[in-house]
Amino acid sequence: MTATDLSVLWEAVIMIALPFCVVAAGAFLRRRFARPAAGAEGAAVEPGSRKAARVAGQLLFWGGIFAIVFTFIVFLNFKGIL
Amino acid sequence: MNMMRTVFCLLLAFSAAASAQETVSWNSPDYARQFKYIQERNLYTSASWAVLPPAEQARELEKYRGPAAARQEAVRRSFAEGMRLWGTAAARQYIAAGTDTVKPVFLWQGREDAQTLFRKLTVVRSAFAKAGARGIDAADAAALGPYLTAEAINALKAARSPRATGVRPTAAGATAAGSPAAGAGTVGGLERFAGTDHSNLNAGGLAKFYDGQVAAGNDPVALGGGRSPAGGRPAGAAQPVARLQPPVRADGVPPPVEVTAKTEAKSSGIMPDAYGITVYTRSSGQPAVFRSGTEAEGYLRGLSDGSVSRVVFYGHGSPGLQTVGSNYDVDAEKAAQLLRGKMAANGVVMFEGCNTAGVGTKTSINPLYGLSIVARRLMYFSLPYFQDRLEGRSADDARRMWEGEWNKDLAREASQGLRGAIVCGNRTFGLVPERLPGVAQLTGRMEAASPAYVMARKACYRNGEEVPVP
Repeated sequence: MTATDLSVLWEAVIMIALPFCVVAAGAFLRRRFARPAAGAEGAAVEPGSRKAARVAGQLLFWGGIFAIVFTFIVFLNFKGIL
Repeated sequence: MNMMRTVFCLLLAFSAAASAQETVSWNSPDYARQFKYIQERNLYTSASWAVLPPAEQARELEKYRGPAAARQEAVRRSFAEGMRLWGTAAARQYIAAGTDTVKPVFLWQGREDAQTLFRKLTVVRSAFAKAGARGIDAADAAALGPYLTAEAINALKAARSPRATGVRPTAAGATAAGSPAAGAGTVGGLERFAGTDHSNLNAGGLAKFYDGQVAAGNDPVALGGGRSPAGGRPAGAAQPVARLQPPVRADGVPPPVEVTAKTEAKSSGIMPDAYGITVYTRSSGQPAVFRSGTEAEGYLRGLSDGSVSRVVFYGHGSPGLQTVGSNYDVDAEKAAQLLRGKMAANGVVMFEGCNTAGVGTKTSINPLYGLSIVARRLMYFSLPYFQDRLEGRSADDARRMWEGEWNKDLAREASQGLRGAIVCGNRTFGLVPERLPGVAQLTGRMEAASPAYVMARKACYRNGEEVPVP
């Protein structure tokens, strides 16, 4: 395996991993800034920045999943299966 | 966390199910080499292939991968050999073998190369026949310059009898080979064409080629620029393939043609079989619509200069290439040949296939555009690169090759050959709602020859410069 092979392989891995990274980032934000349980301390006065981070997490998470599914559908469409 | 796990499981199950049921359609472009081999050897027909289970199909394709590559290489070498200057002995061998040397070239290398070899064969055979009958003059000798060695031409000049040339003219103008190698053995290092009936080989439209042209070699071809009494064309003339043309009106414009799909057998599967060429002319409100690329070609050649206002090529696409059905491809050079001079001022040529324009340099925040570029890079650079590496090609060669291919811009290249016309293509994969299962059945457009809606980012060029989409 040559250096050229490795660079091409690395590039392909990054490209394939890209949508999964988006999903992972979204999942992390959703967990890190999860809505506090009702009655928990500070639940009533949740700062806007936490809400914004949670919304961004939702967007990344579902957007990433949509991207993966969409790519798959386009691929199947291209192959004439769908 | 549970929900995430569920989503990932669903995704995995979806992909596993889809890959497990994937069958390879007959003549799939992904396995073009193997299918050519299979058809040349009469190993399967489309019907017998369709009934094979997917696993068996995969085994067969793998089994013929090596032999197909070897056969392709043999044909390539044979063609290169055939394009060299022939000596007398080589010329006799080719004449004796007739179109047996052209058929594999057509199947494996395409129409252009086959026509080139066929033209050479026709000119040389005709010269041998003429030399045997009444000798060749200086003009004939000059016409043979690109095809024969000086020694062979001198030998023909000196020849005055059929015995000297080994080829005797028949009453119909056809030639009978007197060479001992007549039709047997190998020519140009290539074993005989194995296909028994060219009309069964639909991989490259071989039947059309032979039906439309006098490739059987039985029609007379006159040397010296004169047309033979029986209507053969002058030898060496680079004329288009003779085809049946629609009747021409007084103003020189053929009438619009019926959609040929109406007379075709309908698709029986759930997927639509949509492709075609649509031609709009200035003189007619109704477009001419073709399913067959060669029919469209004949129609376009019959149109007067400046009469075409819009042409739409519809089918699958890839960087640098638009296909229309399984037997007809259009690249920049072919588009230029086909449409040069025919386009009206501001006429539009539209390639409605995936990736028929380059990805461009404009920044975009559209994630779907980004996804399409990633998919294009993976499909047309990464995958073929590793495929080439597995087949033993050097890393640098493979990289150089596919770096130049994955982002080819068919629309821009074609616009440089069609000065003044606006040529458009798609920068992305095109998502065609009609191709989703059931939609085409509902709309009754299973064999649509013109596109309805194609979701893709378009790019248009005039003389190689990007212009707004008209």
